[in-house]
Amino acid sequence: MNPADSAIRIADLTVRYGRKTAVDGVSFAVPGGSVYALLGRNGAGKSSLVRCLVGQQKPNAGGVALFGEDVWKRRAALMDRVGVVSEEADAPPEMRVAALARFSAKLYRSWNQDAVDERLKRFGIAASSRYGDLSKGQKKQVALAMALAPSPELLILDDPTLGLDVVARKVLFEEVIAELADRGITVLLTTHDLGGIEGIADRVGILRDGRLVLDEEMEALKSRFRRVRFPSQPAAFSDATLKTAAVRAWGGGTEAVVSNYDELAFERFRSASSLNAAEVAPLSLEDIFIAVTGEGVQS
Amino acid sequence: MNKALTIGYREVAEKKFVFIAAGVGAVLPFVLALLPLTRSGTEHSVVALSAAIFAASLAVGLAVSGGSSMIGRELSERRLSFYFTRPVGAAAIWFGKLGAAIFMVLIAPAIVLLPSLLFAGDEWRAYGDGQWPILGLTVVGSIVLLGAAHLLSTFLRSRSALIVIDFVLAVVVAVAIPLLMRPLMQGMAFKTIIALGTLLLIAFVVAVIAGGWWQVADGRTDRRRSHIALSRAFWPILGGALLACAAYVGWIVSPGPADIGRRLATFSAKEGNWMLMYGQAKHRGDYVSGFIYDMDSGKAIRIGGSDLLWGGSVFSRDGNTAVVRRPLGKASWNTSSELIVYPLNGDAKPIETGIVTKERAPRLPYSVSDDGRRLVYQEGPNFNVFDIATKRSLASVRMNIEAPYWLHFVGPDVVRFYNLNSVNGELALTIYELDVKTRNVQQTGELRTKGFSGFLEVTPDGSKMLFRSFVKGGRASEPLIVADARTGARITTVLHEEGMWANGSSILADGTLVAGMMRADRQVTARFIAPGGAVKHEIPLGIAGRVSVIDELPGNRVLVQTAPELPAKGARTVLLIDASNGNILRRTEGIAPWNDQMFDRDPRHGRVGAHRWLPTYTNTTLVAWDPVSGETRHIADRLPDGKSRGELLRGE
Repeated sequence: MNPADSAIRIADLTVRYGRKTAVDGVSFAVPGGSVYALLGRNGAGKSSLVRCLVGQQKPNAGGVALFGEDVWKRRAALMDRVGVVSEEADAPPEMRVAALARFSAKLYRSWNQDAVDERLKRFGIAASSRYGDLSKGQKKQVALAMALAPSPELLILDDPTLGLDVVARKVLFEEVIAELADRGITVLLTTHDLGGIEGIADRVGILRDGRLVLDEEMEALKSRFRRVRFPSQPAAFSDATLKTAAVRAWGGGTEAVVSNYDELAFERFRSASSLNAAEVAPLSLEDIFIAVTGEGVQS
Repeated sequence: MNKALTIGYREVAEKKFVFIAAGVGAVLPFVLALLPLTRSGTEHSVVALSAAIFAASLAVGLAVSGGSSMIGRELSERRLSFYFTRPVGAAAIWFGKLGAAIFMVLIAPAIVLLPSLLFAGDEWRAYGDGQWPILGLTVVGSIVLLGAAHLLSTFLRSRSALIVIDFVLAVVVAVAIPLLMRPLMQGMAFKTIIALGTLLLIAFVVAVIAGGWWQVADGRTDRRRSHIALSRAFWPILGGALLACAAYVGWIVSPGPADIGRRLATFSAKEGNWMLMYGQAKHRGDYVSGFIYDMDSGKAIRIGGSDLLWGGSVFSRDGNTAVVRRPLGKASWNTSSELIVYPLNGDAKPIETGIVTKERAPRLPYSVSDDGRRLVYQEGPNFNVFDIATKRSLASVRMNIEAPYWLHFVGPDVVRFYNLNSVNGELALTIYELDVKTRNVQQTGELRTKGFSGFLEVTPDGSKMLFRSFVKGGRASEPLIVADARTGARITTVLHEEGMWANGSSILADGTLVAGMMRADRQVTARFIAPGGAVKHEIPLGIAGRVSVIDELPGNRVLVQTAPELPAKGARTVLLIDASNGNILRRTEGIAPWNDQMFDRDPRHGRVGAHRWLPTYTNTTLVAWDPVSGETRHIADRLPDGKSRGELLRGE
């Protein structure tokens, strides 16, 4: 991938709070027009990384470039091209939704009020509502409507489904984000709703303890992770060419999550180990996430 | 700019309830004026006063709440990202919010005040221009309070241990400012103090504005980093301003005697060539420097300048010791000061006596013995005699003497007091002597005459005195009385002749009375009258508005000065006269020897002493002048606007 084509480029990003390192030398790039899902358990460093990403926090080392420009130095100009939905509802609580839109409209070069009205209508939120009176999910929806109004080239969503009900979540993922992706808008989102992004994310990154332990195309990721079970006999993976993310006893046999599954290699391993019946199943993104971030992770 | 205005407008719109409160505050004074408790005819006062109180309270309240919530509240509630996720720069965020806060602080109180100004304008006008400085101070004070509240809010809300550093720095600033101002206060540099105070206030406001901008630009949405950014900008700016002020103050307080050119005051010792000189220097504001200065060698000892205000210093009669008041209070209006003794005939260090006095001018509550070894000073109703070398009190007696009084050591163990009182419509000069050894006070004499006040001069040996009483109805009826200085027994009484009166007069060491006699047509003569009352010489001096006897010089010579009548300006003439034969030995034009002796409680004049130089003013310089040879030595150039203290006092 040519770095010049990246909507987001993060290089050796390090954020420290005193002695604690929240983000530790993270580097990755998000190509223009793709949907990037950044995953991680609580405290993995996602929020610090997102704050750096939107130019709100100066990293201790490394940097973030949006569209090739340093976001710390050029934040104000870049935000004209970037829509942001923050993790926490940050709009003034006493503002009416309509006033919020009017205020925001004056700050952007372009503003699509019709799109705001249409989305608010779709979310079922009255423009006369006080922002502070809205539910957590509604606040996210208002923030999303505002973030999309200036027709951004990049949308950064920090846990956008937090507080949303199932329907709203579905609308967000299947209608909004998928539609944006179709229009070539780059999306970076952090979320705990792994099921929601499975179908729309092009690439996935997983943070663990501030380090980026995984950064891969969704398809490749899903193709290399398999759950392998030998229900009737124990299997030893120690000398195998297959890498395991997790191994545990399964009835009288063994279950393992293989992180570099290859059909030919697996058959060789099975023959060499005189293992008979084997069940091989693909993993959901959630399973992969647990395997990568959970206890006993080997790779 | 537009984005700052957009943010500012949003901030103001968010707090529109404040304007509703201001509207209520505007009406409330009128409601108060209608209450039955209000006395009839005072409605305007009630409206004006209550509106002023409401407006000031609102301004202060808005400054505190606005300052503490401007950035700090959104930072601590993690809502500042609302602005940072939009295409607005730090400057637009900060100045938009700051502008809105200032707008609220100014406009809401104005809404409260406006109706009262319209209705009760007479009450406001009654203050003349007085209300504008008060309003200005309220506005400036509110803006400073706004900045202070913002600082404190940011520091406290960051919940960071860095606040300890801020606290330490704040203490350093709080200590540094009074330390910086103290020498200025002691040098009576009130205008400079106000200028520096204003400068520091501006620096504070600039530091808050710049610090706030940097806080938003560099700290952004992180509370701790925001705190660090604010501190990094605020303290260096304020510290820089303090250092600049300190450097300026250091320069202001460092002029040498040659730099003094304005409001010069000089007071020479009765013997020797030392003098005290005070004044302001060029480009050093209104700071008053003070020196003990040797006119013969040019040696100078720096002392405080506030002596000029209090008249705090004297020399011993032998000219080898100076006693100076060193202010103890931080403020110049605090007259509490310690007497410091400066030995002048060697390299001995100044002696801190520990004697504290709070008396103000015009006359010092103390006197020093002729040899400079003892002090007598008043402390309430008591007079204490103090030995300087041992720092021991030798005597303390209750005298119950009220001013005006004079006192001097007759010898090392005897202090004489002259107390002026009105007794049964007469003026009584009562004379006492304190025996230091026995601590006994004895009335030794009394002189009674008509008048409401008087002027006393005693010969250097303390044997004779000249008392001139001031009588209602004018100088023509004021007698000049030569009397025994211990008993008050009259020796000679000189009454004025028809159409002629004494303008200036003095008693010489041998008891001869010298009177500058003036006719109605301003013809002046110097009349020398022997102790017995016979006129020895009558020397015509020409036409003049004033005549004074300046000095008695060794060899029975007298310096007499004539000057035009005030307020007219013109050449002065100083004549050196041989008192034994009445011959004029030298006539010098255009100079003015001047001693600010008015604060000295020792009534003995300084003449016949072995001194050579007199502090003397020309139109452009202060010089040391030898009246016998006519030689001058330059001391300082007078500034174009540099009137001397004497000239100012005389209204020249």
